[in-house]
Amino acid sequence: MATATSNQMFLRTSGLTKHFGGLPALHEVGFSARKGEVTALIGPNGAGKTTFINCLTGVLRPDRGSMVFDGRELSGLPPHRIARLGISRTFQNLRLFSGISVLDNVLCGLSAKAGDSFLEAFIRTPSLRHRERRLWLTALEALDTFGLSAKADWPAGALSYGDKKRLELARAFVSGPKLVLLDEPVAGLNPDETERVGALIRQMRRGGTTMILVEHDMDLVMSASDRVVVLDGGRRIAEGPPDDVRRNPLVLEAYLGKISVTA
Amino acid sequence: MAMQSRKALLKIEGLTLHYGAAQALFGIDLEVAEGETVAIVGANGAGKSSLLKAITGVIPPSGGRVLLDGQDVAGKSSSHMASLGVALTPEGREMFGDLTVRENLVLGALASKPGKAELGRRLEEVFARFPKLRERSDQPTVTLSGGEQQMVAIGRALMARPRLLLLDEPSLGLAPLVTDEIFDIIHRLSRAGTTILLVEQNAARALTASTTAYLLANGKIVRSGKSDALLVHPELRRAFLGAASKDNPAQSRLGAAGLTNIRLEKPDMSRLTFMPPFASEQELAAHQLRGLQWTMRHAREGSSFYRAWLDAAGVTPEDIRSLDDLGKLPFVTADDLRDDYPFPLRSVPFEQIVRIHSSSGTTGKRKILCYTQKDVDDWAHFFARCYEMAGVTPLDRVQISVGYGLWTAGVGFQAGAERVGAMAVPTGPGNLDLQCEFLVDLQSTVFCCTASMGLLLAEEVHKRGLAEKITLKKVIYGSERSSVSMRKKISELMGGVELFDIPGLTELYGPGTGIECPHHDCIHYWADYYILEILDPETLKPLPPGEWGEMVVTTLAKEAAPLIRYRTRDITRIIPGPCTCGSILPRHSRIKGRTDDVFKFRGVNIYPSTIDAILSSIPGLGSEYQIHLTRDAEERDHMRLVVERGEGVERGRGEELQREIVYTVKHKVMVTAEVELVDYGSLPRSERKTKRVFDSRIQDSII
Amino acid sequence: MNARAAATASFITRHRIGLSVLGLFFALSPVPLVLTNPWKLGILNLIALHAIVVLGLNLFIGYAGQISLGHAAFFGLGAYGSAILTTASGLSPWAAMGLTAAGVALIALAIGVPTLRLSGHYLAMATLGFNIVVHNIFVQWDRVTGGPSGLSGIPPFGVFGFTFQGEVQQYYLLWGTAMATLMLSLNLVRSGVGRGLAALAEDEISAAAMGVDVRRGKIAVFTVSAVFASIGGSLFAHYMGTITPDTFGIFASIDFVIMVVIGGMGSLWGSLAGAAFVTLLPHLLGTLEDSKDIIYGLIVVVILLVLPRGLIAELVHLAKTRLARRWSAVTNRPT
Repeated sequence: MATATSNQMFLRTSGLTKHFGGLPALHEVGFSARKGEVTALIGPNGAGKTTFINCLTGVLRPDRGSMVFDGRELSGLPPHRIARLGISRTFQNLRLFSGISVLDNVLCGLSAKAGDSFLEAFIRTPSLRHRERRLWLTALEALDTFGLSAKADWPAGALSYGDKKRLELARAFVSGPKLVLLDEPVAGLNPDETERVGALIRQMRRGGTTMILVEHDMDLVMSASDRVVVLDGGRRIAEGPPDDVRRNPLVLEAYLGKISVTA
Repeated sequence: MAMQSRKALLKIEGLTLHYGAAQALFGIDLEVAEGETVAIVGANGAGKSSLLKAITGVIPPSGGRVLLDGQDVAGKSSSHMASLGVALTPEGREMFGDLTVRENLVLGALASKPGKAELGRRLEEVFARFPKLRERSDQPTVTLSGGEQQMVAIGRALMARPRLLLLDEPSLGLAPLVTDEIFDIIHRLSRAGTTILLVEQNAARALTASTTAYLLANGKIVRSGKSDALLVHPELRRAFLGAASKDNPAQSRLGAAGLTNIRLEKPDMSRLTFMPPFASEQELAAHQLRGLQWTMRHAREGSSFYRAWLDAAGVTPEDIRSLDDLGKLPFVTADDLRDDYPFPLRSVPFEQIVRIHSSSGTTGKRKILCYTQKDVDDWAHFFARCYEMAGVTPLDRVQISVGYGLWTAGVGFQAGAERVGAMAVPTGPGNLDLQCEFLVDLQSTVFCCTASMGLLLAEEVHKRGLAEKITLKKVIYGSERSSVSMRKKISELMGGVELFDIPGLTELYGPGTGIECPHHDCIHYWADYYILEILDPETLKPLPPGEWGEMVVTTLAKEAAPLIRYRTRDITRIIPGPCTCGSILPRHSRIKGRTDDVFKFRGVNIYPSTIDAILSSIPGLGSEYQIHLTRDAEERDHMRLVVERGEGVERGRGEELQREIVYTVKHKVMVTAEVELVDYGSLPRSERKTKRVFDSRIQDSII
Repeated sequence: MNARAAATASFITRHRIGLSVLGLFFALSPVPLVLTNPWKLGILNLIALHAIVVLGLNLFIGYAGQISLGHAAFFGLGAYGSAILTTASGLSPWAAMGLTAAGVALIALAIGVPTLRLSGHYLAMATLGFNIVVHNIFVQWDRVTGGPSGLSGIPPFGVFGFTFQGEVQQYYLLWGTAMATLMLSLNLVRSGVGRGLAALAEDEISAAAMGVDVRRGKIAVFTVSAVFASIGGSLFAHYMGTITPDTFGIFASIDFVIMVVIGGMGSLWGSLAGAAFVTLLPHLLGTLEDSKDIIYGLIVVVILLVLPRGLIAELVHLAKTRLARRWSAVTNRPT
């Protein structure tokens, strides 16, 4: 895609630090993501990736550092306000609303657009009706895109693992968010399902959605991301285009331990 | 430890292999030193499996030598090879499913006929290496996960205490996290001194796991060397590390085809740019004034029409001293062009005219525009600018499916493509079979068409399942308005292409007078070739920047048929302010419609583009629609919208969609329309411009 | 199907919820004409009053997944507030009810903001504690509340000079209000706000990530349920004419919770059934004097075991599954 010279930093963190007890989960992490790009965040288990996502989404309060999204400082904002700024996310271990239907789960993804007024809801004004209808159509379209329309009325808990992963995605993307944080979207999926999710992510990327992708699957990271940032032990150890990062010895060492290439 | 020149455990010289008459390997030379891990990398079909079959004796080679420890073993049976200590972990693992883990492992040692104690020792070693297998030693292997099966496969091979371990695609079909584990095992084996020949599609993994690597493509070794050097080499990185991605089949095919003489890097083009050299708006404005003054003098001298026209207005070229003085001049309209048939506005002698183009005259006589050689060259130059802004390079292949002949489009697109150095593929309009054929076979990267043709082709590509087979990256379309949903549809169906709207009109050279910005939020126009004014179509007064109005253009360098304040009847608006893409050229919005596009309905002026935008905003609708305007016996006007459902949207949603359309149209345009939903694909599409408004009411003479 | 019929069918489908509530109201309307025994009508009226409280409580515990063991306090505050305002200040019952409801809303907010940070057991304890405090105030502050003997002489509701006297007229007032409350609750549940509540009941973190203001949602639905209970209480006071504190103790709160659970957590139609069942049961068991409570408890336990989704919801679910299985057996097609 033709990139221009002035591509503003859509999301930027600097000096982000978070300790759990005495242990540094994140240490002075500087991270940036450009608008319209997929920035992958990789690193071995325990490197701090999910902690990073949780700080961005307000679930955790960082000890130090700033996070600026589209010109707004995110530190200190509660999770629902961050969501309403246009940032949505999936959860590594799935946090679907198992008791309610697949369609209702996706509709929950549109909560920010659904109106807040109890009064309006009680008396069911025509504008609420119209809004509900529009949301319903939008949710159905998302189900079409993510291949779940046939199961719209199923309780979400009854879906297969692969379907549940896609439902999380549908729920995250349905509101047309400005930034989507994907936390291991293909973990535990078999190759076919992984490919399916990968294709959906690439489709969303073609549509211009900015994403941060936390993943272990290198093929997915290579095929779907524009830039890669590597964390290890809570620190950023490398960043750059996927090809460059792949061969960076620090990165290889972090993942594979020291390899003696020569005997 | 320093790498001494080790003894070659395996040496292959000039190996060839045939399957009947078909040749799979064309003279392979490779060497595996003792204790080394060598990787063979290549895409599917490159010949990796054939090579392994030749080494392990499954298929006898048709020529060449296979030397194991100095002894030629080419053509020996596989059992013989096994007894010589060559063990294979086959592609896809090949478990004896019903047998337990232990039983599978024991089978691995069969060829070396160990005694019971020895067998026990070897089993113990394998279990020590793969603790997970110890836990599951009595489970049938069919119950194991992919990763565990791969461990059994490797363990089975190790049971034979092989001198040479051949691993065929160990990461195939494994869950991502498990592949890490498997490669960890391979690394450890390698460090322990096992001689390994690793065959892999996943180049990145293979290169990081080995010391030496051979790149195999089309049955030949195209590259070999130290793995870490190959990891770093830019050309190979691109050719092969990109080869694994399913998203980019063409790149892998080029790489896999071993065509290393194709420059996969952008070659060093002379930094040719077609952009104008102005550094500031003032410079541009000064240039425009000079161009305007020149045009005035030139038109007056060369054209009797313009002489009379200026005299009638009482203006002389000397009166134009600043760009604001443009307001003193009268207008030229399409009627003037028709009245002055056959060579309207001609301002040069005939011997200087090298070409004419004509517009598709639907009303009255055609508009014929003449070109001097300079006009033709200028046009090609700024059309090349369009391609440049869209990021088209000499490596691109531009398939041009617009009309040639009298129509300006075909020649314009082609001349611009050639000027920018790209390969022009002039397929012309229609003929979807040919278009698809060339998209696949010639791997065209840019497609030029009308919006309707774009949609038609996108649907065809989708229907034939070609999206993965084509490498189309950009679609440049023009001469017709397009809605957001139409663009989205085209982009999606063709696998995520970028769309560029290109404006232009026959009177103003042709298409190419500007192009959609690479940031896709505006159209940059070539203000060094013409001045754009936006005027109120009724009062003809200039409108402030940002308001919608009629485009009125004045050329600055056009010789044969200059335009001075020509009313185009197209509606757009200037977008003020600098552009995020960095270009200082001024910008306007996409064409909203024509002044004669608008229709009146119950006293309200409505643009089809407004209906477009409304329909685009409703999820679940297709991109095609029709507006039917009728009048009933009581002289009341009715609007009926016929709208396609989105692809794959079932009828059950129809009622809600209908209500939504009626509500939104009422809300936005204050009109209650009837809405009929039809199946996706049932409305006609055309290659040229699709007619969407059908007004069967009695027309007033003045609208 | 011709256009007229299609349009009617479409209208009915689109407005099925509202039409169902209206339908139920019309079905209930002829009852006083048939059932003339005032004592029996009285029980039905009590059911309606309870239903109003239970609907609100169901929104809070069934739908939003929280817990309250103290809702009788709001019921009581509604009753006492309305009673005091009408007897002491001579306000009309409508104004008294409105003012009391507004006051209860403020109290609910004041209570809700600190306690709704708690969850599970702690929240249960806090609400229980609140109920005990309020009940004590009813008993101790006898100058205002009349102490243990309560208040009497509470005027009935009236509109345009007509007052609701007698069981039959009260029947229409109370059941009309209950139906209106049902309608409002059903509307809430199928809106964005309602979905937000269901989401926060399932997973607060996930709901917050979707943009649901969890704290505000909990406090809001708590306040709404308190207001419903208050309105029920006011209607109760003006219906009974006399109120005493023992009606509003913690056992009443537990009764309300049982009504919700038996009716079905999250099932609003079920709330009516739950209110009916629990209100009626002691009267049906009346003959069994001593063992009444044990049997009552046993029946409740058995119902929860056999019909865990609640009376209505479980039967509906059973019907749906049976029908689906029979359909697929008959047509050999998967449903």
